[in-house]
Amino acid sequence: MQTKAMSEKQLLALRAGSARESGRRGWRAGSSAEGALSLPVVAGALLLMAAAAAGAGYLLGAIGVAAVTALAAAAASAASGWLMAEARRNAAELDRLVRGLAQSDKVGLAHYRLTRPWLFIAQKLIESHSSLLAQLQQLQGAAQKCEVALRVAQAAQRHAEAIVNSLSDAVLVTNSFGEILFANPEAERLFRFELDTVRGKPLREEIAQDAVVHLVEQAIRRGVQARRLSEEISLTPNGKQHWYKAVTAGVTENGTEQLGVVVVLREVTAEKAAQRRSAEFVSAVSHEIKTPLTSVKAYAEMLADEEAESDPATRQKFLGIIESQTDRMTRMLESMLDMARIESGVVRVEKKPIPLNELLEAGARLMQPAAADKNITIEARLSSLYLGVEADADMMSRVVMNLVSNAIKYTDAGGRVVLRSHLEQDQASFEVSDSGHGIPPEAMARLFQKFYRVEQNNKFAPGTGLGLALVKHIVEEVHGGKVEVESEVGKGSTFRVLLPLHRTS
Amino acid sequence: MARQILVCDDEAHIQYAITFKLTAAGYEVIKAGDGREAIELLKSHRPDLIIMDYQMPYVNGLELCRHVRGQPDIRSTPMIMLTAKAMELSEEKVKAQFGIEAIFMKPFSPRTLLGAVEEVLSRPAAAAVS
Repeated sequence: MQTKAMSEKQLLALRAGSARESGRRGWRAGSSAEGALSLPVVAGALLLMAAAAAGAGYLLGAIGVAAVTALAAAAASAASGWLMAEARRNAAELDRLVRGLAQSDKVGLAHYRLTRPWLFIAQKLIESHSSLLAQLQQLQGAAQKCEVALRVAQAAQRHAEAIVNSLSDAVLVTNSFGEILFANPEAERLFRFELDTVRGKPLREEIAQDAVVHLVEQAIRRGVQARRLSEEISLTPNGKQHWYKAVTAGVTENGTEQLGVVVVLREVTAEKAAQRRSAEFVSAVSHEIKTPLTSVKAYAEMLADEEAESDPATRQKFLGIIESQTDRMTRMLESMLDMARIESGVVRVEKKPIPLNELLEAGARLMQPAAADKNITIEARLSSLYLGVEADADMMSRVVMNLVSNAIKYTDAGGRVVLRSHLEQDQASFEVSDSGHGIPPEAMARLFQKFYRVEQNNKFAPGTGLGLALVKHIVEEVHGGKVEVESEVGKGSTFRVLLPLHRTS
Repeated sequence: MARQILVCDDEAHIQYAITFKLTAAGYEVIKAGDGREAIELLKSHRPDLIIMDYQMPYVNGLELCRHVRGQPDIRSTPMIMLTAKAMELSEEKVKAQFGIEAIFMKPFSPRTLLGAVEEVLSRPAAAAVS
């Protein structure tokens, strides 16, 4: 700065002095020659100062926010290069002209000697400029580094945002005043807002989900002590209840200053439903198992207490009950294992084209002895057409056996069970009809539920309440077909299974 | 005269086991296959004790309890409940709310059940009711 101030003052003096000299002396052509000379010098010096000022500004800018672009730096550098050459040229010109003038007269010579220091000043200017130029080049290097660092940082931020935006979890960030800073698209969808319109606004005013507002406010209250907190909350974003696992964490810097709160919401509705189904299943299983177990325990205890010692027939009856109840438990466990294996996909499904009529005939044949025991006739009135279905033979024969066995169970002695098959447009169908007790209308809705048993029909036969659930699962979930039922109490029931035809093309 | 006990369970084998045990101990047993049948029987019988299953078709154990407590002539009949699954209410609440003497989780011991029956029926209060 001192250099700059001095040169400014001396430049002014130089100009004044030259004017005085020219006015007093009236050199030949001197005034014009000097006037022509002094202008580029002054202009050059002023430009130099501007460059210096620009340099200073540049320095401040670089120190401050590193916002100076490489382009400006290059322009400044080119300008100062030109300035330096210009100053050097002017100084040489000045020296040459003054020397020439001085040689022509003594006063001129004296004047030349007197003006010689200005050359020194010009020299100083050039030197100071060179140092500025060096600084400028340094700054330019620093600016380029800043530029690279900035681009890397921007890329990293875009990368991080892309990651957060691609999450299926909703991510919401607020500052420590509970104002929205960031929300990924999933959060925008969940809270029904657009980040651009709610940024900086209080969360409490922008979302209707009080549970989330509460989590954020709680974390803000706990301040820097806020540890990561995970809890399940239910939200109703579209009128239906959805469950979310909400992880809330305070965002802090060095663990001393709270910058805000981040909430990550993961939907767990399906898991929650699966948990509930599993709990219900376990509860139903334990209940179903406890019933035969109660009989086994009661009769075993009474036999142990020798309560039936006096009567061999009673003793035999007790033993018979224990045996039948043990069998019941075994059947139940096997059905449940089948169910669990098929539902969980442990059993490999091997679908291939199979002739439906053959499957039905085999089923009727296998169930014949059970039907004969009750004097029930099984009739097969099958379609004369070849009905090829794409199915797992083992599973589908289990469906047939289950339906035929149910028909026999719930039909009185002397009744009739009929198997039919049809071709229906692009499907094959088969029916198992009986002349049995029928199903009351109020039981229809729950007929295919696990462990459900028609109460009125409980007395006719033992059962696990799993058979029809398994039939429905195999037909509808595994084979993409459909199970239908029609029934009338006292007249009988018809179960119809529709299966997609195997296509040969 | 033998004390009369109403046994109400929809599982025939369990009903038979309890009946056998109580009869052997000298009690007279009347049997109902579900809550509805029990309500019918109670129109013409005044048992000294009711043993009922919680889960029964049509009218469950708690509904049967409520019915008994709502009938002036039988409201103070002592009751014992059997259940294979946890009830919506806690055991203590059910006992307090319905004045149930004991709750037996299935599978239970007929021997222990008989012990509870004898204990309940030996009380002077229960004797006074009948």
